[in-house]
Amino acid sequence: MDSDMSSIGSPQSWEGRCLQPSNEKELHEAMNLVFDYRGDVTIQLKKGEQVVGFVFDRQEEAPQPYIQLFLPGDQHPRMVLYQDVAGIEFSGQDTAFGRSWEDWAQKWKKSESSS
Amino acid sequence: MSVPVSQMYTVAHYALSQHLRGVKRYPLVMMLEPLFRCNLECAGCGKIQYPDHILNRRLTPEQCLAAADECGAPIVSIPGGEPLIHPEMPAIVEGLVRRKKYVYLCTNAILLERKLQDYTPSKYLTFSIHMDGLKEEHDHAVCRDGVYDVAVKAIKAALAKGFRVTTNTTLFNDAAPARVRRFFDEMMELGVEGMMISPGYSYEKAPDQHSFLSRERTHSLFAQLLAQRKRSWQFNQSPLFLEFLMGKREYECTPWGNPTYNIFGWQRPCYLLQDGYVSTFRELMEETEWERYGSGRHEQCRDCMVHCGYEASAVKDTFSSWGGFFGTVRATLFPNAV
Ligand code: SF4
Ligand code: SF4
Repeated sequence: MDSDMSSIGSPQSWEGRCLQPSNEKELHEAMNLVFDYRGDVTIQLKKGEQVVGFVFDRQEEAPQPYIQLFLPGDQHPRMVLYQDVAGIEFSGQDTAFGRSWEDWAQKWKKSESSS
Repeated sequence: MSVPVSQMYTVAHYALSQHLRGVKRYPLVMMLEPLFRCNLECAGCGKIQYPDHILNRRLTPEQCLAAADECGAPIVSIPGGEPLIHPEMPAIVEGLVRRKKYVYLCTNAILLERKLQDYTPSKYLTFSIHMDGLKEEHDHAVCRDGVYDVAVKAIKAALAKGFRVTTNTTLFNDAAPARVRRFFDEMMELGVEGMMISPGYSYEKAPDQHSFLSRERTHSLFAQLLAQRKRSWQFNQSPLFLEFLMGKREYECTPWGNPTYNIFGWQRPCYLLQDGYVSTFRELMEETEWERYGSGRHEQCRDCMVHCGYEASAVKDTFSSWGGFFGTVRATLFPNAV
């Protein structure tokens, strides 16, 4: 488990990594990463509950900042306040990783040159 | 055939009446995304990069029609994902047509020929076919061989049944002007009503950051594409927007001009950026900090010249100043005048 917030840089993908923010700034940074992530995440709440889903909304300027997730199988979104978050795991597949135009162009070039 | 007079009249009447009533911000084209799932996997497409449970979600016809009613824009564009996958798409289109909305159903055309029987030709319904260039360029762009031929066949079938058909083309920095001009010829020879062109943009969450066209490159590319324009080429978009792409005019972005509604709600601030969602159109219009967005104000807006931000600016110019109005008349009648 990678709980070291100081390692926030830009890894190729956050898939499989965990973050445990220890202050307000780290919490906001972590929530930005979660909002940008193109896969499901697991949010560990301070009260012990785990919420697994896709984060589609982030309202960091609300009086009480929050995110919204769609949970598989649930019709309505679930709201989670920043202040209730203990940790985050990028638990689902990163659906954007390796699917850029450049990745495709490289693969295509390789297959052209080998054929 | 170009845009029907009734559509031009509807848009002109709508824009003028908003202007005369002193409405500062009004929507022109609602972007309705009833699902993100697609039957293609174009490289870099951020619309399909979601977990399965998100790709399986769809808006119902009731949600789509309520959003269109609330928004009030005279034109509704339905991009995706691939809208023709949605089993209730005919009901959504029918409901919009009943409301006299001009609907642009954007499709990659793979399913179009099979689905034509589910729709009725109408001046209110246009199939807007995703075509990114001649066969070689298009099949490369959509990462699958044969799609161009399928789309051409579907275009012919739709035209034969009396449907309005346009094409929409996104151009990236590898576009070869001479090839694109040949593509324009080919599309017009097919008999489409008009073409829509726009520079590409990569979505915030998508990783494709290197295909951006800088503003200068966009100006130069579009100036080459549209120089000495052939009379036969019809563009289904504002002539002032084309001049903007060519670097002949400056506009600020009008992100509220093409508001986007999808399975997450009303998207802030525009079709391209995802800076959060709200559940009503009124909240979108009244509570979004619009001044944060646009070139020079937001990092991700820096090089954007995409139609969903700037075409509404051009249309607004046409109806809010005599200069804009006469500029539109001149650009329509004499597109090659300097
Ligand atoms: S056809 Fe459109 S929605 Fe589908 S993958 Fe390609 S760009 Fe994305
Ligand atoms: S310039 Fe306008 S349309 Fe382009 S990304 Fe920014 S807000 Fe959206």
